[in-house]
Amino acid sequence: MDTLAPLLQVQGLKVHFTSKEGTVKAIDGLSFEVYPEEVLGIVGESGCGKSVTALSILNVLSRNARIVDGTILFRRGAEMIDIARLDPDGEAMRAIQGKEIAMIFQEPMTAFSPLHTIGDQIGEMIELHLLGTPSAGGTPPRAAPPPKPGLLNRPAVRRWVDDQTSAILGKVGMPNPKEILHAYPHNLSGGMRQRAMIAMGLSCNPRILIADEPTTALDVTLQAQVLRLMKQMQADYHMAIIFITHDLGVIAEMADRVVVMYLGRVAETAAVDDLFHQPRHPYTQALIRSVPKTSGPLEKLIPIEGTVPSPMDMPPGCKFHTRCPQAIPGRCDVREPELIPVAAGHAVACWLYADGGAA
Amino acid sequence: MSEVQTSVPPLLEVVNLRKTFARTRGLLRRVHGLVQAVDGISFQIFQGETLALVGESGCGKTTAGRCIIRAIEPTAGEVFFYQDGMKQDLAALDGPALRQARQHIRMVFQDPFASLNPRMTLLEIIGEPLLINRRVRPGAELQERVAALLKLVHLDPRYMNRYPHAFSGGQRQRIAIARALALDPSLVIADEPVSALDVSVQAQILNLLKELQQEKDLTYLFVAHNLAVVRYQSDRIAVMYLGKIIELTTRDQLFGRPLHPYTELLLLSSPNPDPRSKKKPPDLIGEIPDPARRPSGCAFHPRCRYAQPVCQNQEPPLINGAPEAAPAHWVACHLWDRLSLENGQL
Ligand SMILES: Nc1ncnc2c1ncn2[C@@H]1O[C@H](COP(=O)(O)OP(=O)(O)OP(=O)(O)O)[C@@H](O)[C@H]1O
Ligand SMILES: Nc1ncnc2c1ncn2[C@@H]1O[C@H](COP(=O)(O)OP(=O)(O)OP(=O)(O)O)[C@@H](O)[C@H]1O
Ligand SMILES: [Mg+2]
Ligand SMILES: [Mg+2]
Repeated sequence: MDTLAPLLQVQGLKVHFTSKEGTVKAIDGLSFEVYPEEVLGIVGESGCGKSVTALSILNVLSRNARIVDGTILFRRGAEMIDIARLDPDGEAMRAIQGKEIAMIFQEPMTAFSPLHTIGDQIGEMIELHLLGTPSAGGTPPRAAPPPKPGLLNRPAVRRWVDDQTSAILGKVGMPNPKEILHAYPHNLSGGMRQRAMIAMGLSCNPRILIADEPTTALDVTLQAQVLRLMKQMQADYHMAIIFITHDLGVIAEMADRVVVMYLGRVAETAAVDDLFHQPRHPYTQALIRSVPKTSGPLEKLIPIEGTVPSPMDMPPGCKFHTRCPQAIPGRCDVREPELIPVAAGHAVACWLYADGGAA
Repeated sequence: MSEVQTSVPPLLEVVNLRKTFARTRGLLRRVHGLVQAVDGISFQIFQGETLALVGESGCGKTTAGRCIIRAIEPTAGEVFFYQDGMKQDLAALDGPALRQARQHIRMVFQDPFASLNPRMTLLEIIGEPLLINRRVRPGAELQERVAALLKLVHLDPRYMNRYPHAFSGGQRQRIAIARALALDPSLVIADEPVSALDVSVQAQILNLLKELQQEKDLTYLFVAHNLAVVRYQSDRIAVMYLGKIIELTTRDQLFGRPLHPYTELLLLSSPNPDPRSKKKPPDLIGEIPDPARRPSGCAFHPRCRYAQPVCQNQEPPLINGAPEAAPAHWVACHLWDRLSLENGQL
């Protein structure tokens, strides 16, 4: 994967919110890459900035947010576009949103309007895509070539869009896609809504699909199916997925590479097997020790001591030092560590690994 | 269902517990369907053990817990509670007798943000059951007891006069546990006590619950949907499907040799935090059914990859699949002794 050029490159990103209580440094020097056709898992505790990262990439941050520093480079052909510099409502951004980079959410009802049918909503995306700039994504599994758009050709376009929509709904495992076209979101069960949302995310054949806790609200049986479906779609559509979750089990099952976040920064990044079997950062090690497993020896759970500091009142130095069993006084509480490479594709932001990896 | 596990009586014995909800529609609240949320479940809990109730959303776990403490009225069934050599049917008690019995059974809820009154201080929240039941006098005596309870759950007693909003999710769950333990109950019903908490905090609360169990010889009915959590917390596990118990046995037997295809599905579907794990969830057949439209025969048959015609027509009884072995292994499946199921331990 290293030989490929990254599709997305987040570098030194800082996103701050202004609120009544003060400035929230939600993202505070975040760097990572997304390569074509990989599943990048982003994992971290509540409030560490996972969702803000996703919203920044899509350039849909709320009004009180500001990108203070850094770049979000998105590759289009030979060109690298800095999303952080694009006007959120401008032409260039709209050509990317939903088309080249799409997002699916935890709560499917937020993705759909209650007033329109599932078919109309997914169809609209497909039609916009058909009329707009074609995406540079992989070959979509399409049966028929699109008809020429235009007023005279309206019925043909309509039929084609409906065919595409029901094909996608069928792909995500909807039992009767032709009927679902006419269903409203509230007519569907939770699992079906989740699948409809994935269909919507896929409808424009994006190059990057961002999934923010898409299965957290589901039962494990359904979750397992949705995860498998997403993997299948990732292969069929040749897209990259940024999979955001707080569940290490889901990460282990889904991700090729993992970014572990702590308070708006990357603590560690590695291929999934290395991350679970050779974790380097004390935070990653502690996280893994604290989660119960469904198999293997029943070792006592070791919780991470203390609580996550408030983002309004961040500790100096490494932000994890207040909870870290291996913190070095005078060092970890003074300066913030940068990401240090420790092995191929494995980097860790921890002073223990400075000077050639002492630990 | 009677268990030959031990000759000592259980602490709690639930017999054929049922709860039916009416689904209503419109302004006139016309009943248009009945939901058998709990459909005749029976089990026993012994002193000092943790029995887990697991199953998918809507299978009736919370309803079962709430019927036991009579937060809602069961439609039918008995709930025998054994205390000091006495046997009482909680489902038949009322008035002062019910109030008295309820002091021995307390509940901890899933959402520590919703379950604590934001306008009460910790002293008031934890002290309330003590004052209502006249266990202590207000003032110094109450403060002393609340301080001891806060220490028990590893919170600083100096926080006593603060309000819950000043605390994190994990700390709030500690407050809820302190309140539940105020009356020195023998049974605690913990309904998804860590589901709303962050991963790193979950372990703190799970360990605290275990530690308190040892210290106070507590008995837990532990309601959860996360099998990994259940594996760490329970001695025995009851798996529920659409209001019924379909498998009940020890933790090691359930994880090592499940007998019901639904349990197998749950085990294979539970994500394991190890990328080397090779277990594969089976294909999903069918949708999770609406509890108001319970399938015929074995309710799981539309989703079961092993289903035979008999499964559609006849409801399987809950039988002991390991009569010769010491711990019983209850299972409700026509095919249980003909299948070799995977246990997800790959
Ligand atoms: N609109 C906003 N205004 C002010 N602060 C915000 C806003 N949105 C997010 N934040 C803050 O930014 C930080 C990161 O939030 P974010 O939602 O990205 O966390 P997360 O990792 O997605 O957490 P979770 O796992 O709970 O979803 C938090 O401290 C949050 O309170
Ligand atoms: N007050 C009520 N009125 C009507 N139906 C109810 C009521 N409470 C629960 N139900 C129904 O009873 C069934 C069982 O619900 P219950 O809350 O016990 O499930 P659960 O196993 O605790 O689920 P979860 O894992 O989502 O908490 C569901 O179908 C639910 O919709
Ligand atoms: Mg989030
Ligand atoms: Mg419940």
